[in-house]
Amino acid sequence: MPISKPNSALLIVGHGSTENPDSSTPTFQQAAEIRKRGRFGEVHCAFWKEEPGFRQVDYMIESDEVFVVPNFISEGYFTREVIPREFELEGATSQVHGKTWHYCDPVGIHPNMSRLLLKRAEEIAPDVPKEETALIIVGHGTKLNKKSTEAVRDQANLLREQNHGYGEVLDAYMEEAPFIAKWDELTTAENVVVVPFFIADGLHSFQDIPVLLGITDELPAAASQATIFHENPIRLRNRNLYYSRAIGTDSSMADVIIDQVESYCEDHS
Amino acid sequence: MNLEKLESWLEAGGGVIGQINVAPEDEGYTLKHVDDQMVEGLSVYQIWEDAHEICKFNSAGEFRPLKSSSDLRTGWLMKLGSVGDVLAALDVFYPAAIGMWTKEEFGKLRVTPMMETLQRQTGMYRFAQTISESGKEKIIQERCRKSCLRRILWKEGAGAQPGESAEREIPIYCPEICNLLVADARKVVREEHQALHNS
Repeated sequence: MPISKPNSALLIVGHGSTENPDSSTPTFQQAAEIRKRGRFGEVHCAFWKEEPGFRQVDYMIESDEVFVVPNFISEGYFTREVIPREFELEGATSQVHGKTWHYCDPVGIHPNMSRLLLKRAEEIAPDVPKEETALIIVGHGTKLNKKSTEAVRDQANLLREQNHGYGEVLDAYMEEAPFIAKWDELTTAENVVVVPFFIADGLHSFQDIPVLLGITDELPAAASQATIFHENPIRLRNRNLYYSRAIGTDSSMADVIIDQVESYCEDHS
Repeated sequence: MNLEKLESWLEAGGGVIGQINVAPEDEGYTLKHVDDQMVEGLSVYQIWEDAHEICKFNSAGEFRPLKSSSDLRTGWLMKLGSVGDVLAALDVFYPAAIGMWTKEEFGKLRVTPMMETLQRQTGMYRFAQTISESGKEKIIQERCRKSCLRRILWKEGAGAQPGESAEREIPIYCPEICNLLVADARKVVREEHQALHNS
């Protein structure tokens, strides 16, 4: 039975950016998609670096019950410190300013993200023989937040366990080993599909990773101007390389956001 | 409550919010830039979500992360069918303005002084709270007074009252400093420290 909360609000919380106009777009698009489905009385977005801000959005919400889903890839500084502090949340359920707030897990750690990664990989490389193909999930990787790496590794492990036919499935990172820059050493398959595990097409997915992969040495001005996502496959280092947009831009992310609310309700029923 | 309050305002003829004129028509409502009142041939939008596209960039093509900055572009006309759609569009153009206006009337607008917001910052923004008085004035001048249409309520001392609005104008309140100003405070603190170090 799909979740239905006609008297509740869904609030999708993102990072946003004061510099990158593409940063908040996927979050707004997912909100629009969920709104169309009519599962919640209201659907809103709020951002750390854009408007509506974390401290503003409460004034836009009319419902007495709010489900907050962080549109973040992993647990970390924002989900554990900034969001609870700014929304005055204390644990899974909080009473704040006359409303009941339910704080769900970030989208990136939901097990159903693996389904989305698989769909994205199949879309950008539909005709490759999977047994001759390596699938690489790329994360940022940082020593400051182990959870960031864990979320990517968990999804790669899950895809490997589920055995969808890919010859190799592995995780790689921009700033820690295994490094995505060594993609041709990490894999042996003829075809290599690379899916960035990021929420938006920001600097990392359309500038930094393409440079690390060796696709380009020039940095385009904005993701919306980049042709990098339309050139598959790219013949490079004697392999066929397929490169995807950030996973967070997939329209099916709306499903995972709803899945996170469902998981919350199951865990707290 | 937000919807009812907006509905009464529209029934009374609408008016101005920020740089937008809102008016009831025979069938629905129109929104357009205040500078476009006499302009013909405007691009017509009929879905409230299109407000995102209208207010994302200014006329110079620069990104507008602060929606209440006074550079909303001209050249568009929104025709919307319901009060709900008008509210949704206005929440895109001026996020939470209608909700704050409603809450202010009932005395429920929560005002947070500037230093309280700065003092709870962590991570890269934790030093922003050490900003000097002159640093505060500098960023308020540059960010708020120069280009933001919101009415400051968070400033300690003078200027902390809601103030009067023009007839039929919905005020856009600012009960707490935004993240852009927090980032400005951090930048000024760094400059102040650097200047101190260099001297």
